[in-house]
Amino acid sequence: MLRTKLALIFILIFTTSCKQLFTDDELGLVFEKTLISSLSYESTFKINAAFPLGKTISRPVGVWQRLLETDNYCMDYRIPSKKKTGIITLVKKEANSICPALPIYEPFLSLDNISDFNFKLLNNFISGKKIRKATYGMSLTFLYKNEKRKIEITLVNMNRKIFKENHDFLKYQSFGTKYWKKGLRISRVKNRKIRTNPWLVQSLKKDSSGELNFCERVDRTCKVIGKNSCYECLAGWIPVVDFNCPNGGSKVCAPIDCGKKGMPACPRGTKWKGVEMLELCFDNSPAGFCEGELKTMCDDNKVLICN
Amino acid sequence: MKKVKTVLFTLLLTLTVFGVIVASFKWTNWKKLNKLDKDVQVISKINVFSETLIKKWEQGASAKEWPSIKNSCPELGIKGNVDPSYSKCNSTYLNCVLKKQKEFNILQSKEGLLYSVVSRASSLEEDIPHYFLRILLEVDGDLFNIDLEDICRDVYLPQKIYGYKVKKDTKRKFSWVWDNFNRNIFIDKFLVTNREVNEWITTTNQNLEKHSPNERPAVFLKKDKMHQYCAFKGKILASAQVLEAASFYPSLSSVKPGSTLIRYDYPWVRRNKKSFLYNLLMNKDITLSKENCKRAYVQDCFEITPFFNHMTKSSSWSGIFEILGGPFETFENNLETDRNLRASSFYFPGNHSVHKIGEKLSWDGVAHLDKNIEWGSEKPVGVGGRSLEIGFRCMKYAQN
Repeated sequence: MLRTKLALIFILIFTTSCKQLFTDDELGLVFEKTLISSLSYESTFKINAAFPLGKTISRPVGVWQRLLETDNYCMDYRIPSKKKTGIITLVKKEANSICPALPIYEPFLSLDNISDFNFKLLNNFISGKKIRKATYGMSLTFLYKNEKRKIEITLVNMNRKIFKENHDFLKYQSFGTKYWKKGLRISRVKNRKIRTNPWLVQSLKKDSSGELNFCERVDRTCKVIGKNSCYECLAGWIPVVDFNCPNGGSKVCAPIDCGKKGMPACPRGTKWKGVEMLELCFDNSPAGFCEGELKTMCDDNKVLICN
Repeated sequence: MKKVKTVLFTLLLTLTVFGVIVASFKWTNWKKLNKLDKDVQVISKINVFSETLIKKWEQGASAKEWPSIKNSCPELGIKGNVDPSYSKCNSTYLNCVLKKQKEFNILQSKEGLLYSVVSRASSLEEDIPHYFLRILLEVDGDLFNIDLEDICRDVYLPQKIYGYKVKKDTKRKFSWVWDNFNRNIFIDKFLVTNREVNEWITTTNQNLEKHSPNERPAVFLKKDKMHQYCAFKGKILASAQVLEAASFYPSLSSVKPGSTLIRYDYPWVRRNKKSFLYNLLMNKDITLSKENCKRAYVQDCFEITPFFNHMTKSSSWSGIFEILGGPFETFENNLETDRNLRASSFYFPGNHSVHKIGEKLSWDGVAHLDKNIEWGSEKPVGVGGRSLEIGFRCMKYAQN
């Protein structure tokens, strides 16, 4: 009886140590398909700038590195050394949307015995030329048990903002194509997330002091102070006149009656005047306009207003 | 003998248990792989479907389909002359397309509606645009959303120096200029239509009367409602300065700092003499044609052809339409507050001087009667006691 028990225990230890008896090929397939299923509808891709896209990742050897962070997942890689095998893992983000610290002992998905790993993100620009029907996606190539593998994932929701070529708007472009390819997005209903706060509406502070609630505040070095929350405005946003930064000055959620007495001046720019200046907030500044006979003046908050 | 039997029994039992466990693992593995395989196939199928869908959404009905659109998509309720561009990013047309597809099980949001309108005004879902259409697919028990944003309505205003025509401007040079360097502005190509306003009324349960035909510009809203409509779309009512920037043909020097800008009165030409409106104004002996009316539907056009909706023959340099003629258009004017109405409209004959870009009147925004408009010396005949048609369009700021 004892021997039977021992045999059974041995079988259990044996089988559980064999990753449910997947063959190497099956393990590769499970990895590939789970990866496609998990990442297909992700939209934001934060790439570790230390590893240039499309280049084989070979250093620092034997160390875990975070390669990529998406809306819901983090992709990590232990670069192979003589003593340690290469492992690629995918881990789900924690509740606060933060990637757990490395190394991760229980990843959501992993594949061992990897080497010569490289990945790249594709867009519809090749060598600066726009390709009409190109697919947005991700491509991973690596050696798995010394066999070359390639995984290609179409990323329909990939935020175009990560590609520098698409940063500037073009003539005839529609706003709808700014983030999403052709304004299209696909998602699983079960993955839908609900905001805990309402959309932002208030542009004037409730104490009727005329003070503004900024959704983006910039300083004189054009650095954004705090967090930019203009994308959370219920009805869009409006720029106010303070500093002439590459991305405009500070912003408030719409609606706000610019140009009226006591309200921010409507932006007018300064290039029309033949001058370019950084600080736009001073009395009678030409960088803003007001209705009728009102004049522009700089208020205590360093915003150009109408008076 | 007994010992041998026991050993054999144990071995057999062990092998059987081992075999069962291995088989069960293999079965689980096969099922897991099979499920993953199916999942990947579903994703691929939805991707292909969405590509077809976005093509129809973006391009609308083809030139071949358009002549028979009243039969193939009676829900559009087209009554008058309409340009095929009306079917682009049009939810009603998309519904017709969806009804014809058999590949996927699309869940209805309401009786006969295969999409729903989602906006920030009604949803707290994370990272959604201000307004979009949602199609809900059911595939093997899993639910998928296909969301489509309107990519046909607005156009980017390039960063330049622009002129705005102030009341005192009489010379060919703009006396009031501005620029939008470091600011990204998108403006609607067309006036907002009844279809869009009716959709807004339904989605937000507004206590407002719906108007038809759907393809006509929405011309009976009060100004505060126009503001509310634009806010629903995540936009603001277009400003006079932006609208005129997108309408006036820009001078060649409009990207150079401090440059002098010349005003061109018509959106299609730099030389006035090439415009039929200028020739009419100068009493040149010309006959107004149907093609002229497609560009600017002035009062005389009523005798030539019915009104053209969503017309794309009247494009400006920036790609906006419906700039001269047709119904009045109101805008926000934070510089000259009493000049908030585009004067060029089908209330004035073709030889009237209002048919130039930048000619403006004043509307109180409260009602649509002639007494609500400050006509100055420009009041045309036949407007008394009528409900006057006043359209609008929206604009928005965007970050890089």
